[in-house]
Amino acid sequence: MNYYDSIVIGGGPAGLAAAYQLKIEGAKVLILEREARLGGILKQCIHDGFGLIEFNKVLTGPEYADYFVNAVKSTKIDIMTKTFVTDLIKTEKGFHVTIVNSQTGVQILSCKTIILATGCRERTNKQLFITGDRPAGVYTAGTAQYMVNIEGLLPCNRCLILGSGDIGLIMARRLTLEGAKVIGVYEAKDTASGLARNVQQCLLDFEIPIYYRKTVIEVHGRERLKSVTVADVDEQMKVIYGTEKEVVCDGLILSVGLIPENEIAEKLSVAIDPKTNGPIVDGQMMTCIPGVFSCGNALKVFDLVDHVTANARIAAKSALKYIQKESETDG
Amino acid sequence: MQNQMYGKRDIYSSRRRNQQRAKLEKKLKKVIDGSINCSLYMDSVRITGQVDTWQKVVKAGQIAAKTNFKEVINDIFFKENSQNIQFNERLASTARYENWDIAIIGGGIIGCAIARELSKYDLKICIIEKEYDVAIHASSRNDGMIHPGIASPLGSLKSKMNIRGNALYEKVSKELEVPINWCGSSILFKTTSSKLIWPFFWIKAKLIGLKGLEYMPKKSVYQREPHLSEGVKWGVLCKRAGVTSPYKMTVAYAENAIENGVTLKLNAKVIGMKNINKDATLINKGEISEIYVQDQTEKYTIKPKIVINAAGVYSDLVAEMAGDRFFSIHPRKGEVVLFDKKKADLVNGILGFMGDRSSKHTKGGGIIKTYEGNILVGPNALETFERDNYETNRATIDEMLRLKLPQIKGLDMKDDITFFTGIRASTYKEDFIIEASRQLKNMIHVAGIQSPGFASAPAIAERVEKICDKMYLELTSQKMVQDVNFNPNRKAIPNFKEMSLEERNKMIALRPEYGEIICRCEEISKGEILDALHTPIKVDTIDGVKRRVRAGMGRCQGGFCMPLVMEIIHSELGVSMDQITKKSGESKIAAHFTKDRGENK
Repeated sequence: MNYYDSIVIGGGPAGLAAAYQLKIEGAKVLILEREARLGGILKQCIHDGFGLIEFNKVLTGPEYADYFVNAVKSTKIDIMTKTFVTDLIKTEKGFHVTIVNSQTGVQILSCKTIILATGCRERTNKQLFITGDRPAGVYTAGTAQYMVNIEGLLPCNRCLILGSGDIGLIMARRLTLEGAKVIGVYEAKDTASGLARNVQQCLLDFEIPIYYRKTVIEVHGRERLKSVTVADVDEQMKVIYGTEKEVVCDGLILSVGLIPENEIAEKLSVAIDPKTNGPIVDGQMMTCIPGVFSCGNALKVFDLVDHVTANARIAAKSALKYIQKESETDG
Repeated sequence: MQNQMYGKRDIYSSRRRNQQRAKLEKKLKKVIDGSINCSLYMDSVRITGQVDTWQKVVKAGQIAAKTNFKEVINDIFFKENSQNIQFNERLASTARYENWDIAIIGGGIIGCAIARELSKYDLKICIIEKEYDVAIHASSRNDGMIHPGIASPLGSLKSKMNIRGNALYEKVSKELEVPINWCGSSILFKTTSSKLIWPFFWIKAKLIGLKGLEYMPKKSVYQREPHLSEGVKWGVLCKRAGVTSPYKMTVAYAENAIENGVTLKLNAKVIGMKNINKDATLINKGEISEIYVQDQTEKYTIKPKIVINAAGVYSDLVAEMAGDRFFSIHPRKGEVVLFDKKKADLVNGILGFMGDRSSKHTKGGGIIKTYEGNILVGPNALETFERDNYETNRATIDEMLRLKLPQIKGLDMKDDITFFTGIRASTYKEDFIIEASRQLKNMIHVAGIQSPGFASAPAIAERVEKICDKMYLELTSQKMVQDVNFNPNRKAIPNFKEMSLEERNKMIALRPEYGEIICRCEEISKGEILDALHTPIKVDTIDGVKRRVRAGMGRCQGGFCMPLVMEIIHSELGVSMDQITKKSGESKIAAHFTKDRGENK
């Protein structure tokens, strides 16, 4: 029976918390996850600092994720991994979710509500218009983190980190611990974007310098990265020409912003807030399409996973109310 | 001597040619630099001297191109192009040699299309490509437009080849299973007075045999392209314009050629040639008896019956190795910016804006919706002495976007997903050269193939086939024999994204890997990536996979799928994870394994 009260798209922290909440309150729920394992990006965040609010404990990413993965599994929620959503359609009674999976092929599932918990992606060097060559060795911090923590691959020997987002700061420490030289973190603004505790624990404690009002404007190297050109920027973040300097490195790691991923939401014409890049929602996390809810980093980029969990619960509770109301009107 | 050398082919008398030469020299001395001299080489003019900027070198070449000489050999020296001239490494024969009927130098769209055309015959053919894959240079660095043929000068070879190439592509597309979107192109005008030139378009179309040309009043223009900014007064619609994937087309040509017996030699660089008659003239012709090739492991000799020069921006250097350099290439860079597919609906076809060209040497493509639905802006046109420097430049990209973005309402700089550079292989005459060498019995030059070169490729291959047929007969007294086993059809890797739900289910039932999406932005399945690794050309790089199935070409630029593609390459081909490269050579993705991983290995 492919009918669900709620289909949760995304099995990261937001999706897991929302699905768990829905399930324990009696809803029939399905989690769809495109990767092989649940847990989302937390799987690769092997540093600690998670769970202070939620559990009053200091946990690593995988530990935090495991708590919810186990909770979800104990409630016998339907879970489909390695499953990709290709389409969402609004129907009279709810929604059709088209999925593709190597075991079951293409399937169309029906549901009353959809929870969008698709997370976010990283801004790339191309979106910053960093010009020059196209060598290997330029990676976003999340990709570099995946390489180190999941694949056991060191992306570079000597790198520069552009942007002081939290993953960038975490990666400065991680790469240092793995034996790479981190020349410094370059930040175009005059303050760090990441948490103060990460600046202290990941940079200052390791004597990694952070340079403000500086950015990378070009990358060089036809095959592997050989150097980057850095330059000063003014208050409007405009490059001050004449201040260019070449820095020799074989890695450029970017931590220059996260963008909520809502391509699948756009199939339902969910209205997107141009400021946050996430759906426009009411106080209860419902988007402009009744029955479609958004939570976690797909809604807006959160600093702490604990806040993501709390936010997902609000979305789940709101979805429950919606399901109940719809059932009543159905009679 | 001169007259004897040129014989009947010479349409100008020696005296007339010398007058022209002297006149040109006087002009160049006055306008460019006093050091410039002109001399005659066959029916081309050669200019030499020394100037301080590349711009002056190009300007001198362009002035020389306005004369009636066949081509311009530009050997004007400026401080940074010295290496370009001293490249010729002549070698003695190597121990190992191979015999080939046809040796094609260059594995771009032209070399691959020629190889495929000639693979219809019972001939031993090889393509010698210096890079690790086909379509590395101009063939993967263009907008994939199949031009209608209206823009090329009347009577030019470009014009003929474009019209014919465009017509042939429909069949080629079916045979090679590379789809084309015949979306049409609009040439747009911002003044009412310019309407006077419509009859000229109409007449030109008649003359060149171009069908599907239509006058569009303002209303039709905006009906067709509702997101166009205000100010367009009228337009010309060319229905015969299309877009396709230029790298997929090149790969398809190469694969079909290989399936029909052609050998593709990758990482193989031509480093010299032997002409058995060093004093070759138009009457006493020479012949290339040996081509010296350097690959990753050895130097060896190819003994060819016929040599085809399809070396793109290096075609004049290859001609020089053969002792037959009668033209110069002046590389012209073009940058393009690609935008997110989300904005696909803002443009319906190909848009060119008249009176808005960043240079007269662009086709004015301007804004294009690519086959995949990304809006592409560009290319611009920048002269450069570097033949393969693909660096992009912020200032020139900004300038291009400043001019072109306002043409479309709702297209924003922040919607960009990537940008890159291509380099056009232009001659000073700015036309194609597709001809048998005039002083070598067994060489064919296919040079100066810039825009609309991609659109002309099938026609260029057809023309080379004819030249080759005649040359083969002259050389061997035998006709080229059709290969009865020739199969024009090539199977493409199934495109999961374009399948219907039923087709998807069938495919997954047959091959479950097709149900596992690896590249989320472009919806590319594991099955497609696996298939890409097992095509006729060896693929073991991230970019090689990208050129075949587009994994990593979406908005996240491979951030999510690159490690997954690496894992597939690793498990399927046995390449160690730490050795996988982006584009061969030194471009390893990772520096090495991490400490733990390394110790456990």
